[in-house]
Amino acid sequence: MKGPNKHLKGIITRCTNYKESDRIFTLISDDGIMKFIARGAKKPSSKLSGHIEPLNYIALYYRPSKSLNSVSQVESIHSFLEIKKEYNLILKAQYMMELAESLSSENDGNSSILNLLLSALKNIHISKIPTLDILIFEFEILKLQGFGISLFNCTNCNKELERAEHYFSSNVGGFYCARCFESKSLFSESVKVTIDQQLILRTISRKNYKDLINFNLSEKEIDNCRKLIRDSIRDIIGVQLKTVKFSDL
Amino acid sequence: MTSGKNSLPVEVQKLIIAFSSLPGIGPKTAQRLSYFVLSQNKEETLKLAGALKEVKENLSYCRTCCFITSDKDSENCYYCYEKESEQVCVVENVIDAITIEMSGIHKGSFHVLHGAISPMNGIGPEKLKIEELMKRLNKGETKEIILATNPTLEGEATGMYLNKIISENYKNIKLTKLARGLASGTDLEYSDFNTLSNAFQNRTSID
Repeated sequence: MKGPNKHLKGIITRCTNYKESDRIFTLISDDGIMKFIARGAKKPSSKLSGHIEPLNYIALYYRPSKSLNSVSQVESIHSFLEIKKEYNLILKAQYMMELAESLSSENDGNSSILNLLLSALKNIHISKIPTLDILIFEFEILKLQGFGISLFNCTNCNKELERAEHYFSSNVGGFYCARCFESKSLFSESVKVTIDQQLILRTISRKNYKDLINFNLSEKEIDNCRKLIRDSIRDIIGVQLKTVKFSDL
Repeated sequence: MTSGKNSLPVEVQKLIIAFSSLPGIGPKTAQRLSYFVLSQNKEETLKLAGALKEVKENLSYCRTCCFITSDKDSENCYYCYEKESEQVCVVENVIDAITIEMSGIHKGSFHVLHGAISPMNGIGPEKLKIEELMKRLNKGETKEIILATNPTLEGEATGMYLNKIISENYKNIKLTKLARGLASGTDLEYSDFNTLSNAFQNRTSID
């Protein structure tokens, strides 16, 4: 017997065509990541067509099922039209969606990833430095999922890090102090990080985003910080995200 | 001959695997199709196998427009010879070109990209037939490019990318794209924001 219709809000991250006119899509929702089937959505006369597109924030009604939940009604809440007008922003948004997808789990009932993704997508088109917004998003989503980067203490001896160049290991998701770095011979798995880069990351971790504007950040500095975070993401997920190379364009 | 725990003959197992590699075919449907093939008479089945073999052996893609051609050695296919080369309609897939061709609206030639830019699936511009399009434009015969990519996120991204590289490198070529907006037979009430926005932007005056 079919259960009652359920209501959900979320962002469509990917769509694939299925059979003659159906579409299967993935949604990052209040209830974690979920998959749905929209029957007949490919037909131009379908009430669902148009709404079932990646990068759409939608509200939907669906019939829960053991296999794929079937969508009965969809309404667009936000279509991120400003992002969809610019090629580079589309690529960046797709990277953020894939990252959110890969760090989400099914039916976890936690809306924080959805809220973080929503606010990042709403701001990216008005940002003066979109790569900085991506860096903040990467940093925040890792923290949210319990993979936050340790910035203030040595990951080995837990001593507070002094104002100096330190070595970052994506493997452990943090910095080594000079003593631990030399005593443990961690040369192969660590990279040297400048004081400025550490300062950027610390400012992001304290959520003092307005202070970042006073730093006169160069794209290169942001890219170097992003490289550290991206390596951590790769180590956590276990694979390189497909959209990574496109997010730098 | 049967193998391991699976009591099905190896030949049937191979057929099921082959069917399930097709898009939209899951393991259950693959099984059903395999049993259907088994129940068919030999003649019918060999006809299917022969058609599959012929498609792979006799057909290839045109070196100019990337459409299907049976002439493997020639530089240009039937469409490249017969159609006007001044107006080129760029489509994602062969089926899109056939649909436009059947409507009889477009008199020019086609260029098939064989996909769309899709970062989520790891498909970048280098995996599409864009280089072939550029080679074609270098000949200097093309006066207009009609971008007929699908109105999806991937299709739009592909259109934007092509627009960028063509307008930067070929200033004399006119670039157009198919109109976006409300489709015939739809209800305004159920339209999404993107479609409505396009419909308003591309509204026309009533004579």
